[in-house]
Amino acid sequence: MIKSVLIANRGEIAVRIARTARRMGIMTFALRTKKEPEAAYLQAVDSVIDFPETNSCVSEFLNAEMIVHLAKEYDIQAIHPGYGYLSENANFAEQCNRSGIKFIGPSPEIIRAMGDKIMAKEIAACCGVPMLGGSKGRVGTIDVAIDIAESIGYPVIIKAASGGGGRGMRIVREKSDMRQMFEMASSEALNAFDDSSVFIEKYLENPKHIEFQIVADNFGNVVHLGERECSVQRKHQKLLEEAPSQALDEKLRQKMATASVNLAKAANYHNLGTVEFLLDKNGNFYFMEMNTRIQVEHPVTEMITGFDLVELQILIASGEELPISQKDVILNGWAIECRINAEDAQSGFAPCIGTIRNLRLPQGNNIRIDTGIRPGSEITPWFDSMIAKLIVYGKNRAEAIELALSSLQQFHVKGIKTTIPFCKAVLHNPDFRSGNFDTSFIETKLHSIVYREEHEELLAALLAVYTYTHETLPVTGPETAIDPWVLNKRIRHL
Amino acid sequence: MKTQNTKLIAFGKNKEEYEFSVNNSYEYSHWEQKLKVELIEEADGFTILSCNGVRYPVEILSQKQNSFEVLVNGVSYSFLVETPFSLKRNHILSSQNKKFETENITAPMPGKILNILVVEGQTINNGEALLVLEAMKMQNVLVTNVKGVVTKLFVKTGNTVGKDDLLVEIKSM
Repeated sequence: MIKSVLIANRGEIAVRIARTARRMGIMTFALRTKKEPEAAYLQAVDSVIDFPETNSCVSEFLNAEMIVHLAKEYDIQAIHPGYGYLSENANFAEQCNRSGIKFIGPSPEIIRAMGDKIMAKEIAACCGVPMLGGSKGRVGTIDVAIDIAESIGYPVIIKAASGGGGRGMRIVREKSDMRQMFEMASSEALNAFDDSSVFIEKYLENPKHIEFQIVADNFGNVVHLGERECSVQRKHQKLLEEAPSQALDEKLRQKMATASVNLAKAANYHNLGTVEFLLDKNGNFYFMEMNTRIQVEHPVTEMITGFDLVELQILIASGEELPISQKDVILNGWAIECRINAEDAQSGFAPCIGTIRNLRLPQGNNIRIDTGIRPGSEITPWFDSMIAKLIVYGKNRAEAIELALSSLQQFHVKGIKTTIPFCKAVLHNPDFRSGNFDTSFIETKLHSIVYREEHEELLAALLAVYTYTHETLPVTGPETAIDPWVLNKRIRHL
Repeated sequence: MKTQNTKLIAFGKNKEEYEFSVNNSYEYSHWEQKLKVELIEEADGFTILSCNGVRYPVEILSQKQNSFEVLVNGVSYSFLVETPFSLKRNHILSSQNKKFETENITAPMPGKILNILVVEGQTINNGEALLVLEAMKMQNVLVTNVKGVVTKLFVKTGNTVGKDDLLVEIKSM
């Protein structure tokens, strides 16, 4: 069993990992950076390591060499990469292994294979997972791109071969847009992933985004933990997730789960992974990609299965056998996760920076909050805008929606604008409530991007007028004013 | 200021008007409806607007003279507080200024200018792309929502810009 772990991440996920690791009796280490020396996650661990000053302009959490070096120096046995940063970096996993440090995640070979979207598609195709048509391998030039698009028909989507998180992706609806979109996709891919290669796929209009959580040990046991519904997206960024999905009946769930498990077996997968699918209106599903790390939205799976996914990750990385089998997995109830981002939904989700002056968090049964901020925390442009996740659990979907709404009502952040009013708008929307939504939901069905209570605008107007009158009023109002005749008399008597 | 039955109007961005009559600085009424208002500073720093006993979390984001930006339930609203007279004057002034309308395109978020797709003097149509702004590692195309001529470019490729920085000036036609 692992005795110590370095958490090579920050924010809420660092706190999340530390919580489980400490419960398991593992010594936890975190990295302190110059950019947020007083961050809340540093309090969640047993020991803090100062990240040495370097001239490099890359983010500290991307500095693979230094992180491995620090782990060696402090004699730490394992590294948990969280999500983002180095979590899907095969070279980093390799460096860890070479230095005798356990990388909590799959092997470098699997990360490399799945990280290369083209190779991932080949593996999935081999074990019979349904797939959308498109280019066979990389597309080098715009002319080739146009040829392929013409053969499969517009619209098509250009994707970065080493992409993820919605970056380096562009939809092309007609030939004339191809040049601009192709250039943008490859330059964005180069910036974000250091690899400009892209491929082309038929674009499925308005699908649902469904993903399956799988977990596999080193002894060939593969178990799936059900699906997550992540269709509420904006520019391919997930904003609200739930588990299970209303769109799946037991038959379809079995089919998709079998495909996910088969893929994991074919890839000789181990540790935690997520198979992402697109689901069309007729119940046809297509493989999109496989994520080889813990996901942001993992808590919804934890809520309905009762398993701690970070614990499973650590157990598997320690070389233990999976403590659960498929028959132990029972999907029970309904969970919803709202991502609370420091973004202004009213002006195109522009990131908000500033100081969290105060926080009020909802409390109660079946409410979980994963956060990496506290009063006084700085929100800087250096890091991701997600500041907290609200996860609620109910016996059924309607109950979960109601609990999510009442919790958001009690969730207050002072100092910056957040996506709380946006999450309320989604949860109040009749189409969302009836389950009639797909990835186009925000553009087509969400008529108001924020939820406004009745008479809210009137109240805002009232607040402005109230403040105005109170600031321009003389301290002595008419009630306390002295009649000038009386005053005159008094002066004469002085 | 006189506080006996003063009329004040909150004038919003989308030209919505809310008229209040103010009496003694705490009695407000809107369309004959009496509103008992109190602004409460809670111990933990949150501000609560209590209106006829119902409490709403609020925040005053900015105040410049009579221009307010406030937050109610986390949603922001902008208002100008005017008297009936000053509002009328503003209406007259704005109707006179209509002829020379320039549209300023500002940065919706902080980021880096990756590409500029127009030049000064170019005629552009509604919906045409102006420039590409990279923010939080995403590329965003800024488009114009007016038809007109690009009169001035304030940025160059590679510039870093802050939120609300002036990028392009367009004279609308």
